[in-house]
Amino acid sequence: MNSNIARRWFLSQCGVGLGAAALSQLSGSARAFADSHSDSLASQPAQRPATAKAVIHLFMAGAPSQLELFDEKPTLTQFEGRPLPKSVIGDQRYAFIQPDAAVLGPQFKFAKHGQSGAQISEAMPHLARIADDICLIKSMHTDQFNHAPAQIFLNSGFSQPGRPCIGSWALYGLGAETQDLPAFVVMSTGAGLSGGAALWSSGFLPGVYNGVQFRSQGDPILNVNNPAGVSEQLQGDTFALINQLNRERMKVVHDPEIATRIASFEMAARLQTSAPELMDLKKESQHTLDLYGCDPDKPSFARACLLARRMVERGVRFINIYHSGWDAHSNVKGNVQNNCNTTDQASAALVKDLRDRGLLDETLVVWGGEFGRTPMVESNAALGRSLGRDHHPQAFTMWMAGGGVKPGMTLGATDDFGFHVVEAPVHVHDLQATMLHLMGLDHERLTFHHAGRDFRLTDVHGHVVHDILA
Amino acid sequence: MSPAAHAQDAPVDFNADVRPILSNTCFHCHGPDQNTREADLRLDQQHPLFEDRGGHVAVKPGDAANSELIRRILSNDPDEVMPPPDSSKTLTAAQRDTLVRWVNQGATWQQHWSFVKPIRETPPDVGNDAWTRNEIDRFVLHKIRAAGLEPSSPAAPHILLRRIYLDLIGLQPTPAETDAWLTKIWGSTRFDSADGSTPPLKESAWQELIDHLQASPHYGERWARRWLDLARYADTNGYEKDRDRSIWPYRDWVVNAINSDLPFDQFTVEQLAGDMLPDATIDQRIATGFHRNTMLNEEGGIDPMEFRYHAMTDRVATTGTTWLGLTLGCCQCHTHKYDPVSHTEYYQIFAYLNNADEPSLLLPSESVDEQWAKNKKQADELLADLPNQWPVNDSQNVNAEIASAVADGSQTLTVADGQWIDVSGPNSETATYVVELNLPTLQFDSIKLSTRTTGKAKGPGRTRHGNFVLNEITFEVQSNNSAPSAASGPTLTALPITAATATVEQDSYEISKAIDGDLATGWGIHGSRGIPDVAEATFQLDTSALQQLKSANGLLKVTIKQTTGDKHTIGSFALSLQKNRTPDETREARQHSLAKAFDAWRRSEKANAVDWKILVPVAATSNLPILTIQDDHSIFASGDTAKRDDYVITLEAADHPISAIRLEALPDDRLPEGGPGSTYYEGTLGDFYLTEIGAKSGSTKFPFVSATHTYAKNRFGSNPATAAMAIDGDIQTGWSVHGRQGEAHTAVFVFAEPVPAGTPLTIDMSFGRHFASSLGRFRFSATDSPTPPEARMYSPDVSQLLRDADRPLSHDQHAKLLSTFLTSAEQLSAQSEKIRKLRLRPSATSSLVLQSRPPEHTRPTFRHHRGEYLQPKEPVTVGLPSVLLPANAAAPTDRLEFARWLVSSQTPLTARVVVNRHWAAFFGNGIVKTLDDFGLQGAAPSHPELLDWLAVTFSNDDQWSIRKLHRKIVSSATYRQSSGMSNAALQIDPDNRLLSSSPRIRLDAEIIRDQLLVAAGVLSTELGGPPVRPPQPGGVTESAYGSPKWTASKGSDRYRRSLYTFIKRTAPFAMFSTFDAPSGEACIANRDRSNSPLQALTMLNDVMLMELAQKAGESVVEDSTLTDTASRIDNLFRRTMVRLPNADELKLLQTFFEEQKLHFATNPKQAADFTGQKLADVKLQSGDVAQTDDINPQSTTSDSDNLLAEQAAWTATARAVFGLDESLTRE
Repeated sequence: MNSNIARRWFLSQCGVGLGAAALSQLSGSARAFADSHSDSLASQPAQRPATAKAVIHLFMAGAPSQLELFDEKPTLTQFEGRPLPKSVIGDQRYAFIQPDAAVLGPQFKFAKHGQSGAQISEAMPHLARIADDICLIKSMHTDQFNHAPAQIFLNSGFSQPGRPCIGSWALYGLGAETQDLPAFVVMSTGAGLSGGAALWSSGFLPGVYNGVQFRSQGDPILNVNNPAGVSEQLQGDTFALINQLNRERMKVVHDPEIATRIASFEMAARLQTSAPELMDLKKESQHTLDLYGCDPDKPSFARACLLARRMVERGVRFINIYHSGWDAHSNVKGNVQNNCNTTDQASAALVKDLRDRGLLDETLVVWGGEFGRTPMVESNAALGRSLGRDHHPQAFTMWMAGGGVKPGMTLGATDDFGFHVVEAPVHVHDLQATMLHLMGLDHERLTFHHAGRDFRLTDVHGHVVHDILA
Repeated sequence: MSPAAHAQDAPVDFNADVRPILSNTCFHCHGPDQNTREADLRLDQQHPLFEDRGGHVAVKPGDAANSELIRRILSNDPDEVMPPPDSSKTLTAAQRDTLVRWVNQGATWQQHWSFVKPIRETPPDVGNDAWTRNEIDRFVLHKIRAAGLEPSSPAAPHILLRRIYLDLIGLQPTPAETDAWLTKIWGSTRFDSADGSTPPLKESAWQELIDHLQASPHYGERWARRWLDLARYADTNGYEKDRDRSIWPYRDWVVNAINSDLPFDQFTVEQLAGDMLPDATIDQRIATGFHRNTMLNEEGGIDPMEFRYHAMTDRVATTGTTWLGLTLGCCQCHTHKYDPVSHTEYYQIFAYLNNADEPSLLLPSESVDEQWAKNKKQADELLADLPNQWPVNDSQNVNAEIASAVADGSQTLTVADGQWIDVSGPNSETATYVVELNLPTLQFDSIKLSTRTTGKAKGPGRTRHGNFVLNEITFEVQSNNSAPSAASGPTLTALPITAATATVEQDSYEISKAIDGDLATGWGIHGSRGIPDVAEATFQLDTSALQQLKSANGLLKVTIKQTTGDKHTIGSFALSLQKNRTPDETREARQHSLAKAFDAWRRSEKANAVDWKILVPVAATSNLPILTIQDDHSIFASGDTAKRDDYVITLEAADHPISAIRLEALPDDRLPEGGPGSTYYEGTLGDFYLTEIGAKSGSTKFPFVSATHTYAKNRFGSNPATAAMAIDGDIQTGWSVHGRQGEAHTAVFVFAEPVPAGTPLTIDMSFGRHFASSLGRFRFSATDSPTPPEARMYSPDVSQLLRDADRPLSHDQHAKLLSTFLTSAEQLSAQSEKIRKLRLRPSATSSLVLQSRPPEHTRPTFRHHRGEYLQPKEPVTVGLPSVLLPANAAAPTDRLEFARWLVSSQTPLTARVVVNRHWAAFFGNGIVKTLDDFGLQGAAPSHPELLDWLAVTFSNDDQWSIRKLHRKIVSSATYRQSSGMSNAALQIDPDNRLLSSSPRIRLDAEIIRDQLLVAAGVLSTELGGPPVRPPQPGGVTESAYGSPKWTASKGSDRYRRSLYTFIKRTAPFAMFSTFDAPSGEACIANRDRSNSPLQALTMLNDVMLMELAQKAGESVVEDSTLTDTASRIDNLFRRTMVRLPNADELKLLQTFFEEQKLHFATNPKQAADFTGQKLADVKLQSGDVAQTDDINPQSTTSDSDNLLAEQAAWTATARAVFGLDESLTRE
């Protein structure tokens, strides 16, 4: 990225209020002072035609059981109680179970839905009703079989913390469409996350590309609300005073970084208005609230989904909604039922709502976890576990909707045990390449020079899954 | 490209002009990596570039026309042209031209500059220039002048003072310090800023200031933080669970090392290999924490060796960045694309660092030892007192036979078992029982009513649910000699009840209600755990009336009334009389009871007091851990441990048959939490999980039939984890000792058939669950005892005494045995638990360290295909990349030698890399801009001669003294320039690489906070110690695993330097991450310096910064030396900016202050909230009696309101000043 151009844009667009002479001088000296990156969020042209302006990733942390939701395997019922053939299992390592653990049959009934005949279990009645809007990928696979590394891997293409997440790459490549809200937003419902802050870290990219957490309680964005006793008048006066004094200083030291600081404060002031407006669901109709199953006053997955739609309307580029709790080491049936009770309606409502508002064509919705679950049962008296499933990296299911993805299709298949992918495998790097592609970015050309080489989200791997492109 | 390269005849410099082109454009396919090398042509080395390749040569010196390289880059043929059209690389015309000219000029080849040892260049002659202060300035000025520029004027005194304070100690001077140093150095405290002139600086005073700052303990704190960025220091383990770790002693070591100016070579050796130094001190071992700052994955089910491998690759990359400035991480997966480091050479460096174990070092502590001695003394006292704690009733039974028992209505009372009265027959709604007891004596003090559940009843009551109600109970006595009066029957003396207690009481049905004389209330027994099987009530009686009676005996009449109804009658009960004991009687009873119990114990324990004979191990092997046989015949496990470990222990044959073996799990300070297990992640540290144990000799198996343990507990859920579960054939179940780490535990395994004498046994043990959990130290013994003993922990002499049950005991022997009995008796378990805990060593501080492995257990290193953990290929031994090793020189052979090599004169990189990083700390950019990359893709140095001069001076003349390096820099005129750039400089050198002015640098997150702590006057200057938690907004940690709470520290710990703030990797301290502080997940040589709206929100609204603004506001109001608004604003401004505000600034601030004061005066509630006070408190303190509940904003303001408004307005002003760009910047 050419920071001079970006800075020039920034200075001219953001109304810092410098004279033309000062501006020309500054743009020429943009690199004269210690580097900073506040200007790097300027909107950038896409590398290729984009079909997805925004992405909403519904990250089902803990890994939902594909065998209970999408991938029907009657063979498992037949084999129930017996171990898998050695030829299938190979020398795969597991987190909690022994490789000779017995097979567990599916815990829910399946049916075909919509024109497309997508296979969805009874645990997701709402998703079943929008089967023709989504694209099921039953052939996902990953390299990682533990939560934190797998979640970090799915976000950053690397199993260790320290690399930029896909949302950060998207901002780095495309910039922001809004100056009033953060362009990469993270929401989290349910328990704490295994991957922690590494899941929305900009890694070695500049810090401005970090995901900004919208918290479910307290200030939606840290410090966006005024402290006790601070009236709007005082806050406004303070912003004005600081900016005036900063301008005074700029007259003395001629540092364009001060202009950037002034712009930052102006954006902060706008954020203080736009964030509460975003969070205020009073203007949403009862019909919409009912569609999502959202209580506007209570933090929930449903509210996060509705907020995500409002963010997309306001130009937010990349939204992560984490729902954790899918880690069904015991009682997979109860686990899936509970999590579906929390997420099914709202996930389907989000797609439907975006569609009805004409936003789905340019908004990509991605749903899924960090890996799948074993066809084998997990039971362990010492841990008090029974009828669960362990982690399974070889095969899992995700779905995508909108943003240039073919609706009403199913890609890929697994073997009779749901153990291995046997058709159209989609590796996590392929998913990442495809998501970038839909956003108008070429995963091989979106690089950042760091520690001696050019890094990219997909490392040296990844192929765009052309089969699912609309 | 140097400007000179443009001129047609100007000489082309290979390093500056040619290699960058080759590196960027050609090396990817014609470079070090043979896997991607095309046409077997290598252009990164001298020889292949010039060698004859069958009739043609890539480069023919002086002859571009006959150089294949030139022919190819100029070719128009798409099949021939280089770089190929399908590559993403291109050459510009100027680049082609440079290459052609280079060849024609003779194609001089040079090694990449950083791989050549630096030599000290003579500083250029810049004439007798008054500007230069030292050699640095001569190098810098030479370049400035060569570019046609001049250096900037010296910085204004205030600015320069703030600059050097922030740079050297990370804190700004207070107004008082400012004035003192200004006077000393410039002879004045006020300077007329209008004419821009500054009095000359007094050099000796400036040097004195440097002395002063370098002698400050804050110097070490400031520079430690930068080093900790490289060390990726954090206080948690990272990844999912991200539990706390103790490695802050390493952080303190760094501070101390810097404060004592430990030379950088020694600083290096101790951190990389302090454990290997002869007679390594505790401090030198703590220093090895540098490479223990890697993350530890504690997620359930991970493969610990996989994440150890990831930690190792991090160590190699970090070593490369920190010392060599090489991006070694690139070679983890394949040979470097640009730098001459091969895939194998990467694993050779890996091998230097790989041969260490990773224990936690328990730090000796006098205070802990003192506390421990105190505790043990207290334990001894408690132990000595145990006999007096032996429980005994302070009353004794008075036998009284039942004379009669009748019930009204249809119920029948039957005497059973001599004393119980069972109720039968159809139950009535209400009932009265009358029982008469023959009294053998009138000497008694209390009566106990016992009830019990009989038959199929659900409780002692006769209701369906087993409950009963006792509405009223009365006791009367008829003495034998009180003649029955014909008229009124026998005289009954009522016994008043003075008190009553019950073993269980129902809510609202307390026992007191059975003696309150009110038939509407009563005692019920439905307790918190439902209806018990037995319930008892004891009634204390006033028997003084009986003393009047002449007779010694009589009849007791007990009346029990149930008037509540609903059949709440008692189903079975007993009455017993009790007489209080005198203290002497109690003592006697205790002695008697204790003696009886002790004797019974001696008899029963004889069977368990086995003479265990140690089984001497002759061999101990495992899948992974290193098993070492200790002198006491125990086995110690060190090294690595896997999710499943299998131990095979071969024992010497015993000369007796073996009926059972004993496994002692032994504590050891070398183990996590003192062992006895080696669990170091995910589970209980120091625990183990023995899943199966088996014995065999040759192919003959000797099965166990039973097992016992002294202690067992599962970490997870309520399921047991017993020794018996280690012989149940189920690999998922086993024995563990959660909760009692640092103590010995034993288990006894009994053979189905005794093992014949003379049979050498082999014991197989398997460990592990979803995490590694093996035994760290253990020992086997055997017995031939025919009765299978249970596991005990008797000392041999106690065992001996128990076995000789009939032998009379000496006083000491008795005492010893009695203590053993008392501490094992159920009756005294609470006291024993207290004694046990007092005897444990109080928790002491530990720190993560490296520990070299024994020579016979060198950990093998392999080359990993594609860098993947699961793809180890051929073994690799230690070695250096050949480019760094002079021909014929021997490579270091171990980690210590490697560390010494890094800081030897043999290594061309280290000194340059180090001085460059320090240079960057003062000037914003390094002389080499890529602080972490001195390789071929790194940036070229802006001042190569200066860099080499600094490197040689630092490592040679100054003996690696960082302090001297800093002094050279801050003594230079270059450093002391002002920070405004001239128009000429903006045109010619917009990046200010030539340093014709001083850069403005956004301060590090920690310094921003520390500076505001100073400004608010609250900084705690306490050094070192465990990390603290300053306030931060709620919810920062909520998204981390387990949603941990962040409870802000109390008192001065809120205001400790930011260096001491607890660093949680998965949820970093919010303000720090907003200002680009690293999370400790990777080695950072160069922090990002962003400028974002979130920073603005933090500065204004963050809870901690708000608190600091309040403190600053308060102190301005309270400072009586400040007399007017202007002087207060001056003071407030100086606290942060050091300088005074100029007239315009002062006016703006003053207007703001007055406006806010006006506003707050009419909004006292807001003022109170804003200053963090309760309005009521303010009023009280000021003696203002206005009602606070109904504040009327229209009412005239009171004195307290004015004072409050004043304080609030100052807080608002401080808050604004803190948020200024200048406050975030070092100018």
